[in-house]
Amino acid sequence: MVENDLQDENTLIQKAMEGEASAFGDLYDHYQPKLYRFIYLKVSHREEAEDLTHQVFLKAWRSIPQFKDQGLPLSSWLYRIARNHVIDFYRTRKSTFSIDETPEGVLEDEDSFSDLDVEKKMQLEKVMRALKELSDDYQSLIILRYIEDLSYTEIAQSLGRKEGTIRVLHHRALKKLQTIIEKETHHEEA
Amino acid sequence: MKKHSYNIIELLSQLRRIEPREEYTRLSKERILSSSQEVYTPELIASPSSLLLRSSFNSVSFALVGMLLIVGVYYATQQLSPLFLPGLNEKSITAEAEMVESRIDVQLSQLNYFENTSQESNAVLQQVSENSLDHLNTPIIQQETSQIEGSTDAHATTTVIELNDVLKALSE
Repeated sequence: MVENDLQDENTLIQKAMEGEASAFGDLYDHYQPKLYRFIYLKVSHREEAEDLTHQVFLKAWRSIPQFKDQGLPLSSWLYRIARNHVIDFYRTRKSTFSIDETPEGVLEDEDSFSDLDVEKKMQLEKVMRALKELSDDYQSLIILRYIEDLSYTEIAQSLGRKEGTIRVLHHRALKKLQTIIEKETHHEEA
Repeated sequence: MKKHSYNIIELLSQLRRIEPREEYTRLSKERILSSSQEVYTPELIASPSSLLLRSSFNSVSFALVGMLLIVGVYYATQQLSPLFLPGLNEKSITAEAEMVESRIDVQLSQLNYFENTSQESNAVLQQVSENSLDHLNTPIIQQETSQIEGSTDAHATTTVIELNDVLKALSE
């Protein structure tokens, strides 16, 4: 299991670059849940999220020998791969897959939320729907900042933008999300 | 607004509970790690002797393959062509050419014959068109003409005498 120890991660990365599968396996264990969550919140569909996450890590495994050339932290590199896969997913399956809808009761099947009451689950689903209405940049920013707890530097590297830009966009994204949720709430009350 | 913001951030943090299924994770990891990955080890790239050995081996391999190809093509053209490429047999080609030549000769002689025949025919037709009655037998025509004229005179005299007798009988 990987601790948040930069030295350990660097050692594992080096071993993975040399082809040591067990080293990449440890990295997989650490980052796979994060990447899955990131993708799931973008596509709101479990099977699709699983498929895309698998593709992301398969690509990472095959590309990691050239990883050091990227000049990025591993997490940022993985998020970039994930974001590109989601974009490609939307591009190729847009006609058959509704990207604008979050299925009702999407959290009902999630064991992780079984202890929450119905009202809480409905609020969470409302937030998920509002997230889907944001642009890709705003969406990614909100997820990486408030759900994955990444720093502005890491987010900037993951999205390929300057840190200053991320700080400005972060406030706009949060405001936009609030507006969408309020609008939906008023609509429900009407 | 602040309370609303807090609620949203609090709700967003709750979404950290989202996790992949364990069975899916196990299968996915297994498949990924069992797949191939091309690995270039630093030692292999940095070693000059290993590079030299590899390049020499490659050169010898290419040379051997080239020689085999040359020998194979040579053997195929020398040994196999009469059996599998009959069109290249010199004797048969010569015989075939002679046969074709004799056919051409026959056709040429036929053309000559037709040409001569057509010339004679043209001459005959020309003669016919220019000389309308000359070829008819003149003495026979004269003889028949005289025969026709003679019979005509005799017939006319007999007829006059018969009319005179009739007129004389009537007057009496």
